[in-house]
Order: sequence, then structure tokens, then C-alpha cells
Amino acid sequence: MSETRRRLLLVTLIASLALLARAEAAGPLKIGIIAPQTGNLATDGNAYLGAAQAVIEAKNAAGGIQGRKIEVIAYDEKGQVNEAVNAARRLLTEDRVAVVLSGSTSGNFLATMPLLNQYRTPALAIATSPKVTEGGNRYVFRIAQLIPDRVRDNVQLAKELRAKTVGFLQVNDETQRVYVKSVKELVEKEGIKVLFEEWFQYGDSDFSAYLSKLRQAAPDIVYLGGEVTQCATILRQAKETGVKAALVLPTSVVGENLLKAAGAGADGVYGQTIWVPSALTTPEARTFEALMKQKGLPSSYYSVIGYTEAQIALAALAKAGDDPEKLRDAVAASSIPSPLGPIRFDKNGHGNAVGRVFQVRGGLWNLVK
Amino acid sequence: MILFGQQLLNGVLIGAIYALIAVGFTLIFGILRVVNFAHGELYMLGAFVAYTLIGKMGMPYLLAAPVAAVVVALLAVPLLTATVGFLREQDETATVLATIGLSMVLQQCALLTWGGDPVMIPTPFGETVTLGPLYTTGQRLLTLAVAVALIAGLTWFIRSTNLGRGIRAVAQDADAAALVGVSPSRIHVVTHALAGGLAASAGALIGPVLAIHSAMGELAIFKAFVVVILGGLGSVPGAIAGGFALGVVESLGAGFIAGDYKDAFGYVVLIAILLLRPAGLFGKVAA
Repeated sequence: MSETRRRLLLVTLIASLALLARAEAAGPLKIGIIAPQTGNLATDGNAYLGAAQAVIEAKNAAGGIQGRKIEVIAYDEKGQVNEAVNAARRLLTEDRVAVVLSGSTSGNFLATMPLLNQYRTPALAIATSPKVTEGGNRYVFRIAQLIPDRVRDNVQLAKELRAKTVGFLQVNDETQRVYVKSVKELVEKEGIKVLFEEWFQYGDSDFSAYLSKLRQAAPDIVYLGGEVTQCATILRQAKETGVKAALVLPTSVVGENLLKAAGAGADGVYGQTIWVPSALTTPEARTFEALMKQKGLPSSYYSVIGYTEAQIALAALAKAGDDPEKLRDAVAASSIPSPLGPIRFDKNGHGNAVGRVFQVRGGLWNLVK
Repeated sequence: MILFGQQLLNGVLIGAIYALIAVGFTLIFGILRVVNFAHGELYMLGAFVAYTLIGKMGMPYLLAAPVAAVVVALLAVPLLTATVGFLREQDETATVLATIGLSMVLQQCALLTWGGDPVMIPTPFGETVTLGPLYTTGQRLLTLAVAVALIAGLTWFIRSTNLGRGIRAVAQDADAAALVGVSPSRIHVVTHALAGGLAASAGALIGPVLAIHSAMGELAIFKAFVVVILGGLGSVPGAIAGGFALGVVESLGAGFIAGDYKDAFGYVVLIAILLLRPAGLFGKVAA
């Protein structure tokens, strides 16, 4: 080896060590995740969390971001608003994460938003309430489909099914209140009457009292709410009670979990969503499916959003590092390919995922339109 | 009127499950003077063991449900002896905390074993059954029949057998019972097994009606609390009456007033009963 080559090798080695040392000194890039890991919403929360962790693990396995590892700090908010606020406070004040991913319901996420604004920390959420991005909080982004889009698709379904009357059997939370109000306004404009409206709580597990009333009211189509366990129970009990109406599930439960939980009870049910695995076959969707299968995670609405939001966070961290303002701008300008198509945010932080209506036939979700 | 009858029937059917869960819960309190926060998890385990016996071992439902109850009854003995049994005489707070810990451990074990997705137990009795203008399912009628039979059997056992008399004696005064030859530790083992078996029976019976999941015990324990306070802490007849009362009140309230206040109706009745009878329907006020 010549002297020049030896020197060049030595300089390269020293430069590499210096870079490595700088990366080590800078420490890991921190991503905080708040999701319900226990309680009634655990299935959805763990799907969101697991998928986000899987993307980040893969990134770490590939060397991290510019030599820096990504550290995930996840807290269980148990589906409770006070736990969600405590988790956000810990992430922002003690752990000092660069970005927050939230698999919380709208009500719980809305309670954490003032903290995110105060600590100028970008957050990507699954919450769908309009208030999430109408509040002028420039650090909050979400890719879940907005309520007006769901409403439009579901009212269109009522028209296509030639429904004259509708009903609502809904869970009492912020998102579903807004959803029901919007559907009612739109169906009444179409001359469709609202015959039935009942509200239950997260945690309710027996729906026989509501379904007895529903059977008597006999609307043509019923818009359901609740988490996957509740919807599976409602579907089974509706069949047992002899409810004849077409049933439309909330977007958040449309997926493989529901089919597994409800079994034959799900046959004929409708649902509008941005994600049904069997119906979307882009390379990004296949990569997502393969990773979920490898990790033993469900391919669901929650997991695909957890996966995509983590991808966006990683791309923004790679572009801007952990400086809050630069990171916020990088998220806002994001346009990475994802299983849901290329996601772009509007000026309020809404993502542009497109929904479709599906129906369960023969134990599988099939595209209706 | 038909809707009233239907809601009454719905209430009685779900009340039977509340009663079955609450009877085991109140037995533990009556004998050991301990609030067992892990009782809901024994109910959850009953459902999952039955689900596994049917799904993995191909056992028919009518066999799987009693086998699940026996398995959980046997499991309850070491679990409750290790927590309630050992700590009870030392510190009441430590005992309660130990049962909370046990409930968390059992819930996480269930999550690891059966996953987080809700599932339903398959049943051959899922078809709708009409009773004149009213309707229900074969499974709900079976649930009511088995719950009534188990409660009747338990009542006979406590009243008419030597072991049952021993249970009553220890509940009244453990020291005095020991003086006349009743072994409190033996009674405790029997009580743990009975409570576990009853809770598991409720889980295996309700599994085909409601989706089962690892956190289902949390809700059950809250209902059991309301039922036993309504009926009188430690009172078996109180737990039975309280269970049916809560089921009917919730069903009629949800059916005729407002569904989203369903849980509140139970608490309103509870407050009303406690104002009139501070020790509950069947409880005795301490002298």
C-alpha cells in the first residue's frame, strides 16, 4: 500500500469515527407514542402502536437516521382522558420527544392539544373530529379521513339502497356526535326521515335493550358506532333480535379484526374506510401487509394509519432533524408514498386519504363503489 | 306493552349473569372479608378457557362450559390462596392491592395467550326463540336456566350440607367456628373454588352472547360491586336479588328513558336503596 493510500485510509477512518462520535453525542431521535394499550380500546390502540413501532424498528435496523437511532417512548392512555394528558405531559416535559404520534380517540387527543401547542411539538394523530385541525394548532396533523367525507359516502349509500328512513345506534363520543349531526342534516335534505337515535357508552357490552327498540322502529338503514368489540356484539345481537335494516359500521372498525370478531354475524354489513387490505394492491400496500404479517399485527384502519404516520414522522426527521419548527414544516410539506397513496397535508393539517364503501360478502370485504 | 315485556325479559336474562358473577364475589367478601378485584378476571378466564376447549380441542359447547368452570375453579384455589389467603390476616390494604395486582397479571396473561382481538364463543343455541310476542335466543334462555340452577344449587349447598354449614359458621365467626372443629383454611379453599367456578360459569355462558376479550373482567367487576352493595355486602340472597334488579333497571332505563344513561340508572337505584337501607337490600347493619 502506498503512503498516499495509507494516509487517505487513515483520514477516512478518523472522519468516520468523528462522524460516529458526533452522532452518538447527539443521542437518539425520540418519537413519543400515546395510545390505549389496555382497556376497551386496546385492540385498536395496540394495532396503531405496533404498526408504528414496526416501521421505526425497521428504520433502526437499516442504520437509523444519519447514524442516529430512533427511540420510541410509548405510554398507555387506557382510553382515559386524564391518562392521555399525563402521557402527553411526560413526553413533552420529561422525555422531550421530537414528535408525538397519537392513537387516541378524538376526545382524548383534543385534551392533549394545548400541551402540544405550548411545547411547539409536531404531532400526527388518528383523531377525526374537525376540532383537531380547526383549532388553529399548527403543530397538529392527521391522515384519518375527515367526517364530512365519511358522511357524504354513507349518505350516498343510503340513497343507492333507496332508504326512506334511517336510524343511529351510536357511541357517545365527540367524533360520533359530529358524525350523526352531519348525517342527519344531509339525509333530511334528501327527504329521508330519522326514525331512531340511541346512544351508548364505551364499555357497554349488552345491546339487547337498544336492539329491541330498533327492531320496533324498523328504519331501512342504521349507522352504527362503537369500537370493534361493541360492533361485533351489536352485529350478532342484531341478527338474533331479527333487525332487518342495512347496517353501516363506523370507519374505525372496518377491517379484518371485525370479521374475526363477528364471524358470520358480519355478513351483509357495510362500512366506509380508507383501507381494506384485500382491495388495495399497490407496492406500498403490499410492503405494509408483509410487515404486519411478519410482526403478527392486524392489517386494519388503525395499523395502516399508525404505519403511515410513523413513516411521515421518520421522513420529516430525516429531512429536518429534531428542531421543532423545521420538523413541523417538514411534516407539513410531506408527500411520501404510502399504503394509502401519496399523503399531502392541506394548510390546516388534514391529510388527503380517499375513502370507499365496502360490504361484507362471503366473509370478505368487497368494494361497493 | 310488548316492548315493556321485551325489555323486562332482556333485563332478567342479563341480570342472571350479573347475579352469577356477584354471588361468587360476595361469597369471598362474606367469608374472608376481602374485596377480590381479580374476580372479573376469573369470569374472563372462564370465557377464554371454554373458547379454547371448543376451538382447539373440538369439545362441544355443553361439555366445554362446565369443564371451563372446573378448570378455573381449580386455578382459583392457588391464585387466591397466594394473594387473599396469605395476606388477609396481616393487612387488609395489602390484600386488596394484591388482588388488584393479580387482576392485572391475569389480564396481561390473557392478552399474551389469546391476543387483543375480541372473539365469540360458538354455540349451537344461537337461533332466535319466540315466546309469544317476545323473542330471545336459545343461548340466553340456557344462560338463565343454568344461572338459576347454579344459584339454587349453591343455596342448597350452603344451607343443607356440612361444608355449607361450615361456610356459614366461618362467615359468622371464624374463631368460634374453629373452636367447634370447622377448619377455616379448608373453608377458604372451598370458597375460592366456588367463587372461581361461578365466575367462570358466567363467562362461559355469556361468551356466545357478548364478544369476549382480555379486559372484559373490568366491566364485570364494576357491575358486581353495584350488585353486592345493592343487595348487601356478603349476602348471597342479596347478590341474587341485586343482580336481577340491576339487569331489569338498566334494561328498562335504556329502553324507555335514555340509553346513554344506562349505567347511571343502576347507580341511581343504588343510591336510593342505600338511603332507605344503608346496609343494602339484604345486609344487616352492624350493632
